[in-house]
Amino acid sequence: MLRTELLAAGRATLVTLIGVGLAYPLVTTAVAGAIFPQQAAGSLVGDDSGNVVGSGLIAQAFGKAGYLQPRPSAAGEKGYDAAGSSGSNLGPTSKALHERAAKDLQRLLQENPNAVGPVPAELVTASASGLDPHLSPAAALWQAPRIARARNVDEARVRTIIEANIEGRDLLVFGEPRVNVLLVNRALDRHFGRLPLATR
Amino acid sequence: MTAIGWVQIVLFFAVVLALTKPLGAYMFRVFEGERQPLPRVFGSVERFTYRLCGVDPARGQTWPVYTFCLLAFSFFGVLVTYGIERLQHVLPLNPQHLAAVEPALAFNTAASFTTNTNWQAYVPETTVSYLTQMAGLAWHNFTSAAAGIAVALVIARGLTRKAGPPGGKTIGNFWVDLIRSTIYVLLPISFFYALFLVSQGVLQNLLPYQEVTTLEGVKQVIAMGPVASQEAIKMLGTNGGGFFNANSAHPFENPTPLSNFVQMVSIFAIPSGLTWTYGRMARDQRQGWALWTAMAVLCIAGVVTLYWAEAHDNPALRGLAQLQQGCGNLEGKETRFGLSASALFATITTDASCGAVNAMHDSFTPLGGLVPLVNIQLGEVIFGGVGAGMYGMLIFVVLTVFIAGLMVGRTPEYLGKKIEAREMKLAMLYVLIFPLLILSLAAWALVVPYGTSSLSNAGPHGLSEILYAFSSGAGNNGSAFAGLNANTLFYNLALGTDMLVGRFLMMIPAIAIAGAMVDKKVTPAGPGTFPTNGGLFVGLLVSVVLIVGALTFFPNPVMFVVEIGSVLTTAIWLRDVFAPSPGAAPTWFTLAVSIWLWFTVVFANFAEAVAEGRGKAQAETLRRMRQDTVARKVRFWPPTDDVPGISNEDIIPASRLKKGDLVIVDAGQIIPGDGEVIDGIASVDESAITGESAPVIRESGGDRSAVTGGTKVLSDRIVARITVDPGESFLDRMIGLVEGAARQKTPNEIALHILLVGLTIVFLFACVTLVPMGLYSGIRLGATAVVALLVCLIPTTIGGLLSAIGIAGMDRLLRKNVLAMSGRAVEAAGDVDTLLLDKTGTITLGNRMASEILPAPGVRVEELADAAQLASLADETPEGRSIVVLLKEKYHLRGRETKGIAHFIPFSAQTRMSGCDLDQRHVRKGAVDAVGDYVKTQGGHMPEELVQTAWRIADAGGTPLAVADGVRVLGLIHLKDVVKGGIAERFARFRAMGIRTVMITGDNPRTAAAIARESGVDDFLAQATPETKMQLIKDEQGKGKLVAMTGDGTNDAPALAQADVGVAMNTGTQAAKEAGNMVDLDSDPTKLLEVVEVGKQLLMTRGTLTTFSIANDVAKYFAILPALFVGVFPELAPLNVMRLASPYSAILSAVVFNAIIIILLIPLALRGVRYRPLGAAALLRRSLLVYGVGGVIAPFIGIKIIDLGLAAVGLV
Repeated sequence: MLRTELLAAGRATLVTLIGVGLAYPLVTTAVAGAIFPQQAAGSLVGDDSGNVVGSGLIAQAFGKAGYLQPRPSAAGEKGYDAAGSSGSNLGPTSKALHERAAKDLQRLLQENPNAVGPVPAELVTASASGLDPHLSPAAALWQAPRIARARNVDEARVRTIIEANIEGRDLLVFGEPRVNVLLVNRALDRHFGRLPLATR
Repeated sequence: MTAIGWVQIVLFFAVVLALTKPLGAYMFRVFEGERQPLPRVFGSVERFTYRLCGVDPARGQTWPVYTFCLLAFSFFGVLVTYGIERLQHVLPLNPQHLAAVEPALAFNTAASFTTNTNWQAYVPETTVSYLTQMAGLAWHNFTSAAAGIAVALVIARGLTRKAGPPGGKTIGNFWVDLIRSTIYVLLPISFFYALFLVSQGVLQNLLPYQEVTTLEGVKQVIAMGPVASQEAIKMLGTNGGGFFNANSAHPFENPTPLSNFVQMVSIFAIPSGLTWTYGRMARDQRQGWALWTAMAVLCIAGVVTLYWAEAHDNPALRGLAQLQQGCGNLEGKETRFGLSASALFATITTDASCGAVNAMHDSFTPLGGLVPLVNIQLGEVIFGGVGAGMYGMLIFVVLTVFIAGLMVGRTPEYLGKKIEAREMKLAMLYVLIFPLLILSLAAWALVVPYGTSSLSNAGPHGLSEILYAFSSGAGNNGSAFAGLNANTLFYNLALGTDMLVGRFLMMIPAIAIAGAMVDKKVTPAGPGTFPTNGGLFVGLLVSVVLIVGALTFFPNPVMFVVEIGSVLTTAIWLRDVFAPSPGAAPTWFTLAVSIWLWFTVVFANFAEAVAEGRGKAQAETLRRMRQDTVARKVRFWPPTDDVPGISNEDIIPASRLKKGDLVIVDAGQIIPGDGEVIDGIASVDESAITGESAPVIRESGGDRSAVTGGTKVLSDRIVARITVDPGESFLDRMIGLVEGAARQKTPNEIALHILLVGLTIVFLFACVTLVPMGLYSGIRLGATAVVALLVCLIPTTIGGLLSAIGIAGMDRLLRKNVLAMSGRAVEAAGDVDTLLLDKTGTITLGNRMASEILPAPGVRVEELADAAQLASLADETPEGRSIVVLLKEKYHLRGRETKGIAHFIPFSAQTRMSGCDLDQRHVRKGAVDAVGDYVKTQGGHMPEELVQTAWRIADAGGTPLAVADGVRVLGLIHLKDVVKGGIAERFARFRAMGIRTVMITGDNPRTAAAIARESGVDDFLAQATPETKMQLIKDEQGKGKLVAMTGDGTNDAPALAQADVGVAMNTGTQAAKEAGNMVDLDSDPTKLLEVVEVGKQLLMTRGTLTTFSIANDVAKYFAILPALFVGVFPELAPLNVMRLASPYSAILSAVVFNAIIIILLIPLALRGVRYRPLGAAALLRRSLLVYGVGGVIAPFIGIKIIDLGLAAVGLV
């Protein structure tokens, strides 16, 4: 009796392994690739000359004053490691968290002397994935004076570009309104010319 | 917190609610339905799969076989995944050329995915190949979820299946459940779900990682992979193991708020649907909705708390100048989800055993982080893992039903199946394993360097990280306070074990409960069973989950622990007196605590002593009676002619009499032992046993032949055959029962005992592990404080009073002059559904009296009177005598000589006639139809007019007797019945209690109906014979009901034995007394009603005091825990709601309260909780209010008063 069941266990292991462990993901890959090729391959984004500059869903480091800067990242050692996603995992009583935030705050205040209002909390808090590609509209607009100054353009034009990139809540209800940092920066380059690679 | 945030939360519950029925109904069709739920091709795939696996789908499995299959399949699962991980470097689909996974990590991961935990000690992006993800991990996402569903189904089947001979003992077939849930539920939904996710931006490819050059000219490597296919089943199967390290926070796993919403819904979809499936299986949809509601209440409480907590700023960021404030805690959260969707996700992922995260729990605010931790420690029963939550919740249901059942005075039952000691044992095992596992491993990790070196956060938060890790593992959740570096040898092995034990060792008792329940008979529900589908039950279930689930982690064996505690604190006091150590608690404190702990022990024993004391006095009187009796044993019987000089008697001590010995007892002598009169007739004084001073007649033959040892013959001489061996006599048994020496624990008492022992072990463990946790936090917890906490937490109140309640219950019965042969019988009396009551003496006053005689047409009254007298002369029944009296008074018929009468025909239950034959006359008197039949056999007939008259008499509630002389029917005798006053109200009370009363009578159906109408009895059995009575009992029992009856005659013996509660009259035959399980010394048939109430009282007293005892713990926690910890963790200050004078005073007050409450409850334990004839639901509501809510509030007040008192006398 139990021997029969043991044999069944072994056979069921193989059958399910092949069925749901191999056939299912492979079939899904084929079907998804056919219907949604862009998304299935990573929602990659190109610049005007057709070079892939990143994924529309993955944050990347932007340090230049002329670019919109994303939230701090704890992914990988230097941050924004798209093959090593991670949050900071620093707890609410953590001294390290306090120090990191204080340091970022100092830097932001220095870099954004003309910004209006206090520094948005988002800009000193690391996201959960370390690859959060978004900013809230407020946190993006807060950076507009700096971007305008670095690019030597009117701040209103920068604000217009950011505002044009605001995505509303999904189905009007879900989530929060947001701005995709990479898409804004690509739009900025498109309008005001690409920033030279060498500076900074 | 924003309005739109709340809207999202409300929408979530609305969608889950809307999905519950369709999905539940679909799953019912899949698992229990007859028809194919999907297009026929699925059926072909299913059958083909069975063939491939070599499974016969029609074969049912018993629970051990089912468990074996589950374990074997899981074992192979661990092996295969381990193998794939170790060999991934040589296997295909490894574009990043990742090396083999390290052995300890590979074991941990294999255990993790097999157990549906999906704890991830590895960083997926850099550790596992696509093949490992697909075949090693996602494969388990299907099978472990399917196994969880299978176990939930098994429990549901156990609870809901009507036991029957064919297939009754089997609980399904594991392979069928596994394969069907995969093919019909998990696989099709996952496929379309995956496509939806890809449309939102989730990856689904086999490409190597992509390297891009950013706008700033920096290279970025972007991870790729077959994500969506894994993501879908990860959520649907509540597995939670992310394809990437950041799990559902990663934009490639969960790119949009919409995908996030769907992911959340998919966590709850199947568990929520299963509640509906369950209701359908129970054939009562409200049972399923009751579970759903309890789960939803707990879930909403979690979301609200978490959302509220996270809407506060991160404490670490507070006070930074020029930083935006008031926007909530954003560290570790994604912008696109926002606070609301992050809080909701964290709540439901830990309510269920999912463990996927879209925000980092480690970075939550302190209160926010507590919610996921508590959710996991509750056992993830709030919707729960696919299947796992359902069976966890049903275990809590078993516990709840047990406590609630006792509170309404019935053996607890759920869906008509009784919860007994075995189920309680298994449920407690299930409840115990979880905290034991978590606390012991966490305590270990906290005190060893290789445990604490993995922490990234120091201080109390580090403790939380470790506790969270082991809770998550044992609960098969898989989420983490991820600051803990769990990829070390110690953690990989410890957590791997944690997960395996947490899964399989908890599944086995769950399946075993199903196996035990499936065989049980189903009792139909009535007003006496409390509903398990209403709001009241939901509320109670929620409380039990919170108290049993949560308090265990906060950190008679019951009394044994107290005693050890007292010894220990006394020793500590002595040590402190003689060898004071710096930093120890003051000696007065240790002394005071130890004194009060001793008091606790003393008080508990006092309760038992008081209860026993009353019985002891009674036993003493009885024992005196037994002494000094001598027996005159007969040598030969019948005596031969006396041989001069040789006596036919031996004088021996009564204690040496054996079964079968014959004894002679003369007037003035004590009957030496229990026996049966075989010769003679005598009046006997039985007052020693019954308390009734009027002497009773004992004679050979008939229903009055039994004599009891210790009673005194007042007149005449009898010869009796001894019917018992030494030490087994009625007197001996009575002494034993009264003294409690022969007291055996009753079934419910045993089950309750198991519950209490279980709770004690849990609390013992919680308290002991407080010490290493304290050590880690830098607190040296004094042993006195820990012992005090332990004693306050363990259910000492009920533990101390438990045996007193039992003894007092038996004693109450005894004082009503009812002797129960076993405690089991007393409890059964509380469970009785149907009462069989003899009409005479119980419902009607005494006996029927003849009131008139009605001659047949053409018959003179004198002729009828003469025949009636003749027929009644030998009829010694009260009715017979009343006829003679009537004839004498009304028709002036004097007594007459009985000479010339050939022979008398006594009344028998078979013929239902009596009479006599003399000369050529055959005079008969009896029931109208019986006499009619008799006359017909003689060649005569029953005149139609008489039949009409007889009906009229019967319709008026009277009894017509016909009198015949040979072929002629002479006329009728009208016997009148008088219904007892107040009996109708009494029956109404029984109806309210859910007990059906059935009147048993030898009357014809019309008479019976009239009396039944007048007395308000629910039903009647007319023209009862011993056979029909027996049949009635069997029929009722066949319907799953418990039957109680009274009886006295020998012909009642089989029915008394068959009935669940058989009360024999003391005046009855020895056979009747042997067959019943109670003897009424007063021989009062109405007593049955009181017996039922005493039985209910006994159960209720236990139930209410248990509730009270456990409810007390809440206040004691609030008194003692802040006292222990607030000095070190000022964050706990808000918990200090009682504002007690000092930590010492807090502990002392709690201990004093704990001791005093026992004393205060002794009267209640002895008297019993008053039974009110209300419906079960009303009774439960009342008990809960008084003893549950009261039990929570009372100690708050009591402890505060004691604290004020202590402060006033300047002790603290």
